[in-house]
Amino acid sequence: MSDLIKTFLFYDRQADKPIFVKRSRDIDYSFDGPDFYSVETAAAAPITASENGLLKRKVAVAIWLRTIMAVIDRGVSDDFSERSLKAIPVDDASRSKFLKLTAEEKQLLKERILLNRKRFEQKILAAKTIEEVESEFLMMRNSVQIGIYSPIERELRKIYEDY
Amino acid sequence: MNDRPLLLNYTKKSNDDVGLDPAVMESRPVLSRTISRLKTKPDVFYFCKGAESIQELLEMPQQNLSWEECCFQRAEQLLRLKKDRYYISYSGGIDSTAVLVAMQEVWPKADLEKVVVLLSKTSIEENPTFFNRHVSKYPLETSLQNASRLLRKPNTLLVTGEMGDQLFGSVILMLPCQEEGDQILKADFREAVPGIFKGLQLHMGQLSESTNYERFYQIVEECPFPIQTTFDFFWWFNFTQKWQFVKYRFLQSSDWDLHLRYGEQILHFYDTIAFQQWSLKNHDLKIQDTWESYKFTNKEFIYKYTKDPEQLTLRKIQSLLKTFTLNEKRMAITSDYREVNSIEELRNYVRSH
Repeated sequence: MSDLIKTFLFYDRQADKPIFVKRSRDIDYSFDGPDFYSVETAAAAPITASENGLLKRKVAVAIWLRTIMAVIDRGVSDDFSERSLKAIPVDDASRSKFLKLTAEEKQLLKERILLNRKRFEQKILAAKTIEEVESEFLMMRNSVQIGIYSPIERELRKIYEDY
Repeated sequence: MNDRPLLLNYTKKSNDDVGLDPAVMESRPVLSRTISRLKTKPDVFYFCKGAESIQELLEMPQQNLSWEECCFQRAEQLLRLKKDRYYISYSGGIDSTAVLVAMQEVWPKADLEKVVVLLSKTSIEENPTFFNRHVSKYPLETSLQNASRLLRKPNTLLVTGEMGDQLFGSVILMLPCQEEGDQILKADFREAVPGIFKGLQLHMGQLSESTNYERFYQIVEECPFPIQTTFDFFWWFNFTQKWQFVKYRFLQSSDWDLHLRYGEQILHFYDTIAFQQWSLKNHDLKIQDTWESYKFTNKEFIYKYTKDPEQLTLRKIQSLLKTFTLNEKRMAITSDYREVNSIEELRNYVRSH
């Protein structure tokens, strides 16, 4: 994890006012929606309270999604690193089959992470009401937050604050 | 009553916004995915019958087979299906390892050439010696792919190690044993179970004053022998309340082809009458005094035919988790294998309590 903390400011496109701030050491939170855009700044900047609850919630959920997907992606990279694979006591006769299988699995997982992030992000950003955002958020949690790479709810709360 | 729409399975992890009464809402998620095989029905939804009831199992002619005989009987049944290709879903855990052992013992060499093993890196990590000595001899494919695509080829069958947990006990007890020690297995269920349910809810991030215990307490009355310990209770809970959910949970991934049928293109190795009757009659063969001994009968079966002492120390871990990583889940499946797409539609199936 980098020591340099980046700050991402999210702006209401129509009002051109900041609505959300997210600080991160590692994860790239630069992303735009039809009704908001983000700017990366060097220093933390105070923001005025937003009046746009829908937009604020959309950005918060999209950030949650980026966070969990980044955590999962990192978990996959660590799990399939050369060092991790070498640590598994597979004998010489089976090693080529093992490496072929793990390479395929890693690629499949990475593709799935990108695909899911894109798919859920599109749905969140297109939502017209807070209820729609919450419904998508529920579906996301139901679909994504399972598996050995996914943090559980209580861990996620901390991760969400830290990144 | 006959015209009421029915679900085959409910796979959503929580009940948010389903419109259930608050008492049920507070009891999620354990409660939401249970389908009772007893006369007592704590179910949240109206379900069709997708598995044998406990009464039917008790009234059928008793096969009285040993664990080994059950395994070999199932391996023979699978062989008699004369499929062109058998995909074996192998997690590296105790149950799926025993599936391969049974098949290797019963099937002629020529038939074993029809076997393809579906597995992941975790499967190999869980049981590396079995991988080196046995699994790596078969053609291998990743279990993270959409297996239903493989099954579109004619005369192909997927065999899983599902239902083993329901026969032997419940993985719910793994965490309490780690946190509080193995003595909880033999504790009086009336004292320990409410706290375990509550701990489970907290673990899932759910804060609630009520527990599932009140809702499920009455299931103990239908057990053919007295439920006394925590282990007894959770085995009975898993065997009677979770069987159908586990049997059909392969349908939950949104990319699974709903035209494929259980019994035609997919079968669970441990889903036989003989295995279920074994579970009802051999309660002393499921666990000894420690969590490490969980499924010791199946471990001894594996050891007998592999002569590998490491197979006796295999620990139960939740090896299925990865299979479901990052797959969009269906909310529920109807009795005619249709997907329920909306909360509004799901409300049609809610039972009133």
